[in-house]
Order: sequence, then structure tokens, then C-alpha cells
Amino acid sequence: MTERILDILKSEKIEKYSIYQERRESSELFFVRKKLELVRGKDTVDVKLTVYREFDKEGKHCLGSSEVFIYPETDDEQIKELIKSAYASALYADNPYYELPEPEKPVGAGEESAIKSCVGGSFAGEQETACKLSDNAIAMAKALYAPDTDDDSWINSAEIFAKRNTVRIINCNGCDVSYIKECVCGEFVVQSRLCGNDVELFEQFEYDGVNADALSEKCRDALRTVKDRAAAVKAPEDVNGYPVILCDETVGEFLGFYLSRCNASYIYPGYSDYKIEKPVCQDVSGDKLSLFIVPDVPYSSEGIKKNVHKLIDEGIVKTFHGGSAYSSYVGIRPIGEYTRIVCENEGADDEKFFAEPYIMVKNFSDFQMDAMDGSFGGEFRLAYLCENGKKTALTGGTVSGNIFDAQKKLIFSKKRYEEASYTGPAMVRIG
Amino acid sequence: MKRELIRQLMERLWAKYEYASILMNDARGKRYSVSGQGVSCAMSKMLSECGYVIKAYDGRYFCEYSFGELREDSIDRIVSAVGDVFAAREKAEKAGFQSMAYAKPEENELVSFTENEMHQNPDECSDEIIVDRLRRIREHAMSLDKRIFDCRTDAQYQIYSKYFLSPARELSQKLLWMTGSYFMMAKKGEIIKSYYKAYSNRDGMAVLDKMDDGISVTVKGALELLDACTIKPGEYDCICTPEVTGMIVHEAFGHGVEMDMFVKDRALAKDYIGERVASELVTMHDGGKSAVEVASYEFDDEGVSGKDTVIIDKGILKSGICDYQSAITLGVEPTGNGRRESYERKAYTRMTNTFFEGGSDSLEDMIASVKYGFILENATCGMEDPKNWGIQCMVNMAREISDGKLTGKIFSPIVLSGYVPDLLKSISMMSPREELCGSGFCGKGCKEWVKVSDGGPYIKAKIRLG
Repeated sequence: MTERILDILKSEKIEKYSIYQERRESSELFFVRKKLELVRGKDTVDVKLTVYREFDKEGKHCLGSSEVFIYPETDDEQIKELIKSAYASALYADNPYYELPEPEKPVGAGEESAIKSCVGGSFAGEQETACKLSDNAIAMAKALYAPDTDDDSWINSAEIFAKRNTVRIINCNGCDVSYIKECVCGEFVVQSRLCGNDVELFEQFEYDGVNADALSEKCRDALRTVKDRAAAVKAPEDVNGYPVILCDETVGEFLGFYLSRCNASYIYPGYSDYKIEKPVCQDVSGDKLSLFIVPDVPYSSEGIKKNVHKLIDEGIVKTFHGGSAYSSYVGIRPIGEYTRIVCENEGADDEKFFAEPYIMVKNFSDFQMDAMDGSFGGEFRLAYLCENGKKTALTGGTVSGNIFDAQKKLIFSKKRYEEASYTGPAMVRIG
Repeated sequence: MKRELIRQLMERLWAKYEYASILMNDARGKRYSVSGQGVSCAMSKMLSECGYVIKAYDGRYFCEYSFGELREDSIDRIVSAVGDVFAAREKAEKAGFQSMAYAKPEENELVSFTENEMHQNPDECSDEIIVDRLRRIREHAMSLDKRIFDCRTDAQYQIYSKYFLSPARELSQKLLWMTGSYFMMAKKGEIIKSYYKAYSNRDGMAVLDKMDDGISVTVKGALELLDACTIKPGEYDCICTPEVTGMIVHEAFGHGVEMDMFVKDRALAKDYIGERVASELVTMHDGGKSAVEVASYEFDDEGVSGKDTVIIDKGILKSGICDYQSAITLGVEPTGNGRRESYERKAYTRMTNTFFEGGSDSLEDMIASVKYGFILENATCGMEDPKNWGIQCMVNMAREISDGKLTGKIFSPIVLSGYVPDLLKSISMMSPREELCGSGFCGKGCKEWVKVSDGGPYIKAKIRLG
């Protein structure tokens, strides 16, 4: 498909373009209790073609762009029409000019193999892939259900997706890179009817391949936690006076504020006023934040090589991330956009971290972190109120706050948490 | 569309399996955006796709296979790939996982070909016209007050063609929806407050005509938020604007009557059919044919005709909504609510156009009846909790009412919580006209996004705020 598109781009004399081809294969298992409700397989492919157009408008030198999607059944005439329409649309996207990414190393004419990379997978035949994916899905299903042995709490339902994405990125500057990305992700619901209360908790997971131990441990923890929810009492009307401890993936969502604020697409329009080598906030009395951004795939969708970068060091902004357009607009070298963070803070000792009183929120129904106004919070399904040496499980309350105040007095735990999107302290104490 | 080739493929599968159906979806969607981040005018990945999904039944079990290309020489490979999925199921069984057995699907014969009228098809209009309209809206909004730091204006549309073929059914439909919205941002120090307004319809470009009317109100909302206070948590008399009513209808109650949740024992509503769950003022609808909005359709992604399902009738829970496979398990009729995010995904029971019918009270009377409370407006997000009927919704703004009058004091952000039937039973007043909007997408858990609309009238209820 890519070769056909390249030929048509040439015949239409389109000089600036970028092609992102993705083949998506998966084996998917859907469970109700321990029984399979449905098994699914998938093998699809599409191409995102970005057409660029250089022009001047009202004294401004512009590079407009527009994207179209091309499918295996799109014929040459349709591709030609799509390209023409994208070229016309690009004229109305009168954005400032920027340079498209250059290749890491030039690929010579006739060189068959592009720069290949591989994350948790290898190039394989069709049958072999389908078989490997279903093996991965079944292995993770066994890991998930292994701890489900107790009558007091059990897995209500689960979905497991073993995926393999094969990506090729080409642009007009000679960039031609490929990689394979495998992962196993999904969700499960645990249920308990202890104390006459029928309750559940919802959990998600994602690993860069089969990680049976991590998934079993996550499930074991969820099966313990849902029993606490069943025994929990209704939260008092107002718990906002207590210091709050956020746990596990919520810590990652909370720290995602900094990922957004350090994105060049936030810097350029002024949604974020962060500056390189300047602190994220003044008058910090708690832990000074240290964050890394790490790649989830080897190349950005534009073909920029992704690496590990220090985002914030001891509270000081070290870099911005973003695609080539916004990076150019804010005057930095483009490093691509990132979604994964690693928090390096080593954490306080337990005596300081767990000083009473506090409310530790173990499970939110839907935690919200607004990167614009800094507000965070939500309704919790399980929290522990620890006060005067007594630990009370609570449900159905809400906590809220604002990170612009909270960030001055954050304390991180020593205990660590590790999943695909976030690695770092398992807990953060606010206030 | 390759109808002959699709039939050839299906003849092969019908010879091999007791039942098989295929859904083809060819969708094209475009998104336009003008903001401080720049101008965007491009096809949207979320709204565009072209591919097939086969659902096959071997006498006991269902399996599905999604693929993107059908050619004469690929039929053998596709038939073999469907077999591989059944083989994976057997492998899982050997690993200790049993499968749920199903009765054979029974379908009435149905042949239907429909196309909604596209008076102002955005696909036939120059992008320049749409981008210029959005640009003018942004310029106007930003000229109203210098504290408006940015205004992001968006428009998007989707035109999709679906074709469904099973032993008894051959259905096709071509539909269009279009939405527009603006998101005003006002800045004070490092904090940016935002307020939005959205529009949707099935008439294409006409949605842009409506957008001029709400600009100044939306600008005012963003500016008011700059001086918002933090609310004292507690239960208050509240009046919900139609979009907040819609969020409550959808998130707090609608997800709880999705009957795939009944199959999983994840919905409390299962035990309340025929019971009072809301005040007698409340009548709730959902369905592909319950309203003419963004989620209206002739048939769902499992080939079942769209319906207008009355879920709550004068406060009594009458019915849930159901996809085809769950209906087989539960022994009920499917309601035409089996929807897929795309041909690449599983079908689940999903809402469509979900709303409360209107009542007979004026908004003025509703405000005058409140001793101390709030008008809740600008719904931002919500999450379902069908197992426990817990409410988890957020709104951008609460306007204080004291002694039947608005005081001008604003609180933000606001979290709504509590027990769904308590809230619904406390509804004591409703305005006459229901308003629906379909600007957003609905997820199931944290994924599976489908286009929905929701709404209702202004309602007065007791709600726990925090």
C-alpha cells in the first residue's frame, strides 16, 4: 500500500509528506466470571498520510498540513482524490513554517531494509503471529485467574488483549523507520459480598509483553482491596480537611499534569508558562519533583527517535517534549511526544509519610486531573481514614484539591509502583 | 461496496458454521479546529475506518474476526483466520477456561436499505468555509473581553455506510452527523479557567449557524469562573441545566440498564425491574429511534433494528437496553443497542440517544422554589457505577440561589455524588422542553468510545455536592 501511495505522491508532485502505516493484530479474550464469553482475532492495516504545503499568507511563511486515512481497499483513483483534497485543505491550516524531521541516518537508494527496531517482538509470519498472540493472551489469563481462589472475593469479569502493532514511518526527507510493538493490556472487575454488601472494583493493566507475576500480584491486591470496600462505611460529608494520599496509577495520573505542562503544544499558546531551567513552583517545603519521560515506542509518529529524557530535575524544568511543529515554534530540538513517566523521587521514611491523620484513597471511580486549572479529585470507591491509631475503610466520598497549592508540599512514599505508563513511588502525600 | 464478494465469503462461512454474520463499515470523518495552538483541518482517525467484522457461531460458541481487506484471493485466508480464532478458544479451554454456550441466533427475515437526507453535506463543502466560520467565531469571542486568553473552536462530522449480511438479513444504511463547539479560556495568574458550549445535529452544516448565538454567554461563563469559590460539601436543592440532566441520565442511570451488565451481575437495576426508581415525573427513553440526533440509526452493529425503548415510565423501571448476544443469555428481545467503537472492536450494549421527557414547570418557578441551593451547569465528565448506583459526575459551575433568587456567586469545580435512586426520587420539578446534545463520545469503563446524545429538561432535585 505504501509503495502505491509513494508513486501517486510522486505523480501528483507532492513534495512534502509523511506516511505512518500501522498493522494491528490482536488476540482478545472476554470472560464472565471464569468462563469465556467471546474470543476475537484481528488483523487490520491502515495508513495515515500527512500532506504538507508551503505558502506565504499575509507576510507569514506557512507550512499547512492535512491528514487523510488510506485503507487496503482504497483504490488508486481514490488515493489520488484524497491526496488532492488533503493538499487543498493544507492551504487553510495557515500555521507557521517548521522543518520536518530528518532521518537518523540516511538510507541509500535501493537499500531494502529500513532502520528496523523492535520492542518486545520480532517480524514473523501471519500464522505464527496469531498463534503467539493467543498464547500470550492465554498465559496472561492464567496469571490473572491464579489468585482467584477465595470465596470472599472473586473476578467478576475480565478482558485481555494481546496486541502486536507493526509500524513503518516514511517522510519526504528520507526518514524510513519500522518497529514492532507488542503488549498485553486489559481490564478486570473484582467483586465481593462480604458484610452483606455486594460491591466491585474496576482495574486496568498494560505490560510490554507477558508479565504474569505483575498481573497476578495486581489481581491479588484487587481481591484484597474489594473485601475492604465491602466492609467500608459511608464516608463523612467532608473529608477535605485531611492530608490526602493518592495510590498506584492515580499517582501517575496526578503527575501527568507535569507531562502536559511540559508539552510544547501547551507552551506555544501559553497554556503553560514553564521555562527551561526554571522551577515548576516556588517555596517548596516538600519533596522536589524529579521526573523522566520514557519511550513507549522507539519512534514518534513523525519518525523522531525517542529516548529517555529528564523532564524535571529537583523541581527544575529540564526539557519540553513535542512534535516537530510545536518544538520548532518554541525553539527546541524535537524529541517527540511522550506518555510514559518515571518518577525518581526516593521518598520519605514511613514515619513521616504515614503521620496521622490522613486519608489514603485506594480506588477512585474516575480521578480527574485538569492540566489547565490544576484542579484534581473525584469520588472514591475505597479510602482509608487513619486517625488516632485507627484505620477506617470508607466509600462514597469525594476528595478534591488544586495542584498549584499541593505541589509545594508533596511527599512521596518509599514503596514503588511499576506499570507501563507510570513507574515511581506507589503513593504521594498531599498536605 | 463489494456485495457479491461479501456474499461469496459468507456462503463459505455459512457452509462451515451454524451461523455467521458480517458487518462492513466505511466511515469518513473530518475534524476542524482553530485555537492558539493553530489551525487543523484533517480527516480524523477516530471517525474514519474501512473494514469488516465477522461473527461466527459453531453450534455452541461465538467467535469474531476483524479484517481490513476483502479480495477474491483473500477469501480462503479469511475463512482460515476465523478458524484460527475458534482454535484459540479451544486452546484456552485446554488451559482450563470453559466457554459460555449459547443457543443458535434466531433472526426474522429483514431487508432494508436507508440513507438519511443530507441537506447540507459538509463533505461537499469547501474546507475554507468551515475554517473561516470557526475563525470568525474565535475572533468574535476574543474581542469580547481581553481576559479571554484563548478560544478553541471545533467542528467535526462523520458520514458512515454500514452493510450487514446474515442468513436472514441484508441491511444497509448511510448516515451523517455533525457537531460544533467552542471552549473559552480565561486566565488569572497561572490558572486557566474554561467554559464550553456544544452543538450537534443530523443536518450537516446547519450546526455552524447555531453557534453564533452562544458565544457571549460562554465568554461570560469563563470569566465568572475566575472568581469562583470552593463549595462546602453537603446535600443541596439543585436545578440542573438540560446538559447536566443529560449527564445524570446517561452516566448515573443509563449505564446501569445496559443489560450486558446484567449478564455479568454488575448492575443493581437487574433486581429493580417493575420497581419505583425515580419520582413519578420521570420518564426516560433510549434508542436509535428515540430522537433524531447523532446516535440515531436504522440498525445496530449486530443487525438489529433501532428502537425507542422506554426505560423508566413515570418513575417505574420498565426495561433495560440490550445487545444481541446478551439477549440470548438473558432470554429477552434485543433492543438494537449492540454497538461497536469500530469494526475492530467487540459489540457491547451501548446507549444511543438517552433522555428524560419534559415536565410542566417553568425555570423561573423552579428557581423561586429554592430556599438555598444551586443551578448546576456545564457538565464536564462522569463515570458509571451500575453495581452500586453511585453517582460520580462533575460540572464546571454551580450558581448560588438564596431565597429564590440567584445571588451571582459562583462555585467551581463541583463533584456530584450520592445514590442514584435517591437523586431520581427527589426530582420534584421539570421544565417542559427536553434538549438533547450529542457533542461527545461515551466510553464503557475507560474505552470503547461511541457517539451518543443525551439530555432532558431542567430538573430540580436534591443532590450531594463536593
